[in-house]
Amino acid sequence: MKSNTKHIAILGILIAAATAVHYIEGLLPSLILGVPIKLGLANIFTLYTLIKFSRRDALILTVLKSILGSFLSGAISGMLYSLTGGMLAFLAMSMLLELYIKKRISAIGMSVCGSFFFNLGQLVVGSFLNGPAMLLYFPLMSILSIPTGFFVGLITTLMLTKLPDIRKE
Amino acid sequence: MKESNSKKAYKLKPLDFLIIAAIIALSFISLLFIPKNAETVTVMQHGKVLYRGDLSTDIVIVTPDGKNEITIKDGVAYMSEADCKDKLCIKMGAATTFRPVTCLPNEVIIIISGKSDDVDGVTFG
Repeated sequence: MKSNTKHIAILGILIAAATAVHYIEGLLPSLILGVPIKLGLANIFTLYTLIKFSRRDALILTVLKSILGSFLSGAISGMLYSLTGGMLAFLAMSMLLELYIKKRISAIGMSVCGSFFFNLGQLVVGSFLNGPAMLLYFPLMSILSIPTGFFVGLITTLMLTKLPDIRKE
Repeated sequence: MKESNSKKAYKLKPLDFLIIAAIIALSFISLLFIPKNAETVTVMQHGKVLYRGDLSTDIVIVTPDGKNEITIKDGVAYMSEADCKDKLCIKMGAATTFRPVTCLPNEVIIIISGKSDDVDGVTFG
């Protein structure tokens, strides 16, 4: 990336978009099959930034998206959930980045893994706040992270292939 | 050229399947750790036990902190009243062994477990 100003501007747009999606998702009824589970749509931007830019940028995006999103929705207690989930998802996906560059794994596989760790993070926070019985959700949350991760991965792939390469212009 | 490249991006690779298979396996293995003989209802708030009793005993419990009303009737336990914003806990319906009913804003949780099951013993790796 040659121009530093442009880099900051693009990252700003991505963070704004991720925060907006994070907020809108919070407005939707978060009940899939009777389980309070999130699609984790904001993960699209984490994955996109990770692949298009760098780990550092994706980390900045993950943290800021959670903090700004919580301030927007007014649910500060939700920050703990989204920050832990987001960070775990980021760590899992950034570990798979090397394999993605070597074309051994697709964005969909990365996203499914990220979605699993996102849900795991939420569950861990939930069990700290509400007692270990929250862990009874594990099987359902674990299996549901496959369709949600698949969906997020599909959208990310769509963005990666259809959007003009913002780094080149 | 560009078209074939974008199509290739959607193709799942062996490692993708490995991840998906691992998560499916983990989900089913973890199911084994969940008690099946549903008999005891435990109502907890802020991680402390408010009520523990038989599922066949009909009772209405009102939580002291943040108003939640839990009804146990005809062998089912559900959240009948809540003062939280989203009312998600009420929409969740009856609690089952593998799906406890929770009210996250008020930190209330309804757990169904086996007769002599201690909830604190439920752990996963």
